[in-house]
Amino acid sequence: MSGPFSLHNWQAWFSDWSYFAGGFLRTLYISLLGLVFTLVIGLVVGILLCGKNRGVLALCRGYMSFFQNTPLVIQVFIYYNVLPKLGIRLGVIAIGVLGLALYTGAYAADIVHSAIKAVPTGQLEAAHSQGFSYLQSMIHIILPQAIKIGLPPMTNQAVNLIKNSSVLAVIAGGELMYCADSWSGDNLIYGPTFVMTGVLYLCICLPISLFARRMEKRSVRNV
Amino acid sequence: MIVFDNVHVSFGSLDVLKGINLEIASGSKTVIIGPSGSGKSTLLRTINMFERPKRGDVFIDGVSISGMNKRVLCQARQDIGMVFQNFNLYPHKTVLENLTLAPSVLKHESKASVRERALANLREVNIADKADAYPSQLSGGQQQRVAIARALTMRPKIMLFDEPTSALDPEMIQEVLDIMERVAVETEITMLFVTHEMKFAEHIADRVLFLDGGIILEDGAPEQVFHHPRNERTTSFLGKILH
Repeated sequence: MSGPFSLHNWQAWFSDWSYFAGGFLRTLYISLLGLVFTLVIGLVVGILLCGKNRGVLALCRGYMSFFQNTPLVIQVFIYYNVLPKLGIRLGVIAIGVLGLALYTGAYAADIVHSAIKAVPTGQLEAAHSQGFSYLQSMIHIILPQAIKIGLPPMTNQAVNLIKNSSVLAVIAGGELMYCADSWSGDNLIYGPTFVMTGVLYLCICLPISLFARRMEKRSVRNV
Repeated sequence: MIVFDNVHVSFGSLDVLKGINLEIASGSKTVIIGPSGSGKSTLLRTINMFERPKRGDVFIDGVSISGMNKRVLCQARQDIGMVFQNFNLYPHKTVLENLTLAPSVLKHESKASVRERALANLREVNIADKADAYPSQLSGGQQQRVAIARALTMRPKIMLFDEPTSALDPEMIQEVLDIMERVAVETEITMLFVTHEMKFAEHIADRVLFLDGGIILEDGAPEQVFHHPRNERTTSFLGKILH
């Protein structure tokens, strides 16, 4: 077979598999860190959105509006090119984690907020009637129920975060998509490179998607 | 003792309570009756500051509850149990955990002693066999009995019952009324009931308040309010609800 998917191209790709394995691991590492910070941002902003302080609400809404309505690639480009001019120097991994967390956190906050609002108001009243403070009510009564509601959409956001990590290729992030881009450019072998890169993303994202689907079915059953 | 001193509560432009003056003795069992929208539940919810007075004040044992800061109010609420129309059990906790959560988290009581007391209260409301079940596995009547046991496990000085049988199927109402009656007779807790169960009210109360339009129109012993009402509005309301 000749053309982009020739046997020679496949052999060349497999002979350099360790280069892609490094990118794969870096994607996992950046995504995992990004996910941890996404959850923290989502939780904090989501809970703040349930409050009544107008200033805090405006701040949260402003954050979400900005990050949900501008492309991630532009946000990452700004961190890479503008932050150093302000005296803030971050490595590409830190920029990747920051970019992914701030971007996905804006969506995660919406999920946390909606999940908290989906818990019946009587639950908070019952907690308050027993003497729980707002924070204690959140920790012991509201959030455990909200997590169950928010887990399926949050898992979908985790999948989006992993796929969006490919954007870091524009700043030489060293992750899977960057490896694919640079290796294919150097070797002029595009077919197997992007097929296998897609397969590797699928290997990370598919189990998470299946988990989300299972969670969704379970929560429907428990309604 | 609970004292209402000229308490006004409004929701927007709607005045729900219009200058309530009331003293409720410790250990008494007071039933509040009245038509829908008369302010019965609001009166009850003002005692634990679920509704804040626009004017006036509520005192519990001489202490103003509306003037409390959040931390002190949370502590005060530990002594005021509340049983809701829709039970409001925590669905992610078992029956036993519903009872033990607040005492162990808020009062830092040992797990063993809280568990023992919780089980005793579950036995009191005849539902100890469901200690490990989740609320969704119980009937409405069973859930409400658990809610009563949950409130009792906090060892409250005051218990507020906000239409505890209104959301129940007719055949489940009696089991909850029986339990409430037993608890009322056996304990020294100050109890306030908002209910439409007039027979229960007559039987259990040592005082009945009839509320309409945010004002207490009738206040007296059950015998007097139910059989010799002084106010025409009370007569008309009771006439409709008893016949």
